[in-house]
This record gives sequence, structure tokens and C-alpha cells, in this order.
Amino acid sequence: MIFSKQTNAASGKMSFAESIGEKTLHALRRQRHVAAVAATVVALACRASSWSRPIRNVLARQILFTGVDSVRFVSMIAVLVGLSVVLQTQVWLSRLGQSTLIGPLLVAIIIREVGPLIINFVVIGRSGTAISSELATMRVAGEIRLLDGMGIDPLAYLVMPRVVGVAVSVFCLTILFIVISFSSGYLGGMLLGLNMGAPSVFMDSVFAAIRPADVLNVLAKTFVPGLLTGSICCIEGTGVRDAMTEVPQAGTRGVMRSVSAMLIVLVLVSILTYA
Amino acid sequence: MSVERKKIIELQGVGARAGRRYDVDLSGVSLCLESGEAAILTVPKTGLSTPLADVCCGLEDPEEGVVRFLGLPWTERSNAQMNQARGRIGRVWAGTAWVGNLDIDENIVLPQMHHTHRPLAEVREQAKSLSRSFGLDDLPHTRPAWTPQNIRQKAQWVRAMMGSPDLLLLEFPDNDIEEADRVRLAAAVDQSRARGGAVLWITAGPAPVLAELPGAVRHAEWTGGTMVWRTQEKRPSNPQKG
Repeated sequence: MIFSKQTNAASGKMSFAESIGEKTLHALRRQRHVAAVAATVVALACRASSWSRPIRNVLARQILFTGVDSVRFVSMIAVLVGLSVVLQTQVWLSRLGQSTLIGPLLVAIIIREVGPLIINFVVIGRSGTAISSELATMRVAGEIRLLDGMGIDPLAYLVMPRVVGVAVSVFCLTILFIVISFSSGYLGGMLLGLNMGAPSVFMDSVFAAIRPADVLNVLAKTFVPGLLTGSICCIEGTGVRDAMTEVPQAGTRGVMRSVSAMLIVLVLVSILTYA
Repeated sequence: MSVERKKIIELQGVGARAGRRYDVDLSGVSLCLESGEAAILTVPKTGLSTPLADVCCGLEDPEEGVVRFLGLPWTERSNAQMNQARGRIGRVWAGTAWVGNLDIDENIVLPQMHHTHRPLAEVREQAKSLSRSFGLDDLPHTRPAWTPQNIRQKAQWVRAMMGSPDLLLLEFPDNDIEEADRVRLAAAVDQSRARGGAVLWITAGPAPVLAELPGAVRHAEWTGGTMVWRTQEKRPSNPQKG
């Protein structure tokens, strides 16, 4: 074994097992880096002194871009999802004679899973790429060094407000998505002549099905992936070196890694909350 | 005009490699600027990239020697202390000088808004006043990429002078500038010196004429990666290798 290692070292090649080990360690180091950045951002964000006026401006712009500018798109998706999910649920429950289960089923589908999943995808696709590309361009152009030279900590000025802005936006958009999808589903059902019941009965059945765990579930599935998406995209963006050709690559890597992290978090939260 | 004499920037035997970022190495540079003093460094060509300004503001760690700003080496400061100290330095940058997704006026007020609690109106008023003193009609409200070079250059002067900095690092501030504007810049630099600031002015053109103030004006040329003084340099009293 020792001999074999020496041979490999001498030839500069790694064995298959070493290669797997090396990749695993590399992946773990990357996860640790993301966790460290996210934790640092949270710690910084909790200090009032971190929020100088320019940093508050960056936060406002990030929420405007990620949250407010997405409202129309998210509303459209919410209407379509609400129509299809609520209508399908109502149709099948009516056939089975289980109309009273509409509340629990909708909570399980839209609030627990579909809402956070779709919003995270929208935010990653729309803002994740933009953050990675913008920071990568700034890095290549030397603007991050410029900020450093002016005594403006790039972590506090560029990363923290973006990460916080993304996390807050994911949460707010998810709430908006849930409200619009339920409303559109109910109204759509009424227009199509389905037996949706009175609005108060429909709302009661939904609210009665929401448990404290569901609230925690929504919080965890919005804030945690939001923090990770922001952190990963900032890491990828600021991690480029000198070439403009690295900018789109940073965007792609940011999206791929954010999607992976988001799906893992969603599954883990579901398991921890409901299993 | 009398100002309290304090050491603003002190370099002792500083050396730094050019690497990817600079055109030339730095070797054995010693320099001490007190309140009101100015050093004018003439380099052979415009835009010659030296590590000097970056070393002075702690962006680049020297491979040898020590750099003290306001009495404390950059290496002994925490990140927060470094950022705070850099907020006391006004700089005209030779390379990238602007944050591209902010307008020029936003760029100008950015450091003051970040480092101080001065009201925005007061900061903007100072910026406007400085702009007018440099011959600009108003603060430029356009993105840096859409702003002519000579206006960008003057806007850099405005940003560097904001908030009475302790140290002015001027890298080729007189590029593409007419003589009358150069005189305006020299006058503003003299005002900064009179308030107690020190100045390091790097130029490839004719040396600017600065006023006779209590703080000395010394001239150096760039030769073989180091500064060779044309006028007598006041060496640090106890040089140390860092």
C-alpha cells in the first residue's frame, strides 16, 4: 500500500480511491466555506453598526430587484399553480366524497412543498445568476479592490445586504405565492362551477389544517435556502480571478450549486418536520 | 498657518514584488510624511503601475519593511481598524476608480456616507463646492462609463478631497488635464496640507508647484524600483526592518 502510494506520488497520478477521497474532501471544504460565509453574514447582519447608509441602500436595491420586481412574475405563476392544484384537488376529492380534506391537502401541497420550491427556483434563476455575474464582473474590473481601498469592507457592503435581501425576498414572495395561489384556485373553481363552498368555509378548512410545524417549515424553507443561495452566488461571483470569460461560468456554477443546496435543504426540512 | 505636527505615513525599507498587478518592483523605499508635508514622485511614463500607493494604504503587504499610517503599522490593525483608517485617506486611483453600477455622484459620496454620520445634504454640498472649485458645473450624475475622462478625473479629485483626509494619495491626478485645472488641483492640495494632511503625488508630467507652507515639499524620481530624492529627504530617525 505504501509502495503503491509512493509510486502514485512519483508518477503524479492519484488512484481511483484517492481521487474519490480528494473530491469528497474538496466538496466538504466547499460546504464548510458556504456555511462559514452564511454564518458570518448572519452575525454581521445582527450588529446594528454593520448597517451604514450605503449598505442599507444596497439592501433596499436587492429587495427591490429580487422581491418587488418579481411580484408580477410570481403572481402569474401563483395563479396558474393555484388554478391547477386547487382545481385538481377539489375535483378528485369531490369524486371521492372527501371534500372536507381540501384544507389539509392544499396545506400539504402548496404551503409545505410547492410554494417554497417554486419561489426558490424563481429567485435562483432570476437573482442568483445576476448576483454571481455582477460580483464576478466587479471582481475582474477591480471594483472590489477599489472598495477595499476606500475602507468599505466588501463582505459588509457587497455580500451581506445581497444575502439578507435574497433571504427576505424568498420569504415574502413565498407568502405572496401561497395567498395568490389559494385565492386564484378558489375563484377559478367558483367560475368553473365546482362545489368550492363558501369563502369562509374554504378559508377555515385551510387555516384549520395549518399547524405550528407548518409555520416553522415555511420559515426554514425560505430563509435557509435564501441565505445559502445568496452566499453561494456571492462566493462564486467573488471567487473569479482576472478573466472576463470567468463571469458567465461563475453565474452557471452559482445556479447549479444553489439549486443543489436548496433541494437538499427542502428535503431535510421536510424529513425533520414531518417524518 | 500652523498645524499640529504628527507623522501621517511612514515607510521604512519597504520592498514589494510587482507580481501580476504592477509594472515594477518596489525596493528599499523609506519615506516619512508629517502633517502638511508633500512628496512628489516623478515616474518615467504615465500609468506606470507601482505598488507604492497600495502599500501606503495597506492594500498590499510589503515583503520587507514596515508601513505605519498614523503611527500604527497596517499589519497590526484588525480588519475594522484598517477600514476605518482607509476612510482617512483620499486617493486618486490610477486604475479602476469607480463602482460601475453607481452614478459618479453616488461614488463620490459613498466613502463619506459609509464612514461618517454626516447628513447627506451636507456631504453633497461639500462635493458640489469642491466640484465647482475644480471647474465642474455640478456633480456629475451619470454612470462612470458614460462620463468623459476629464470629468471623471476631476470627480476623482472631488472624492479624494472629501472630508478633510489625513493623507492624499494622488496617482497621476493630472492625466488629460489642462494647466489651469492642474493649478486648481495644486491649490486644493495646499488647502489640504494647511489643514494638516500629508500628500503623496505621483506624476509622469511636470512636477506640480505647491505652496510654501510649514510642511516641506520634497521631490523624488523613480529609479530602479525605488525613490531617489532630488531634494533632501528627512529619513526616519530609527529605521527598522519589519
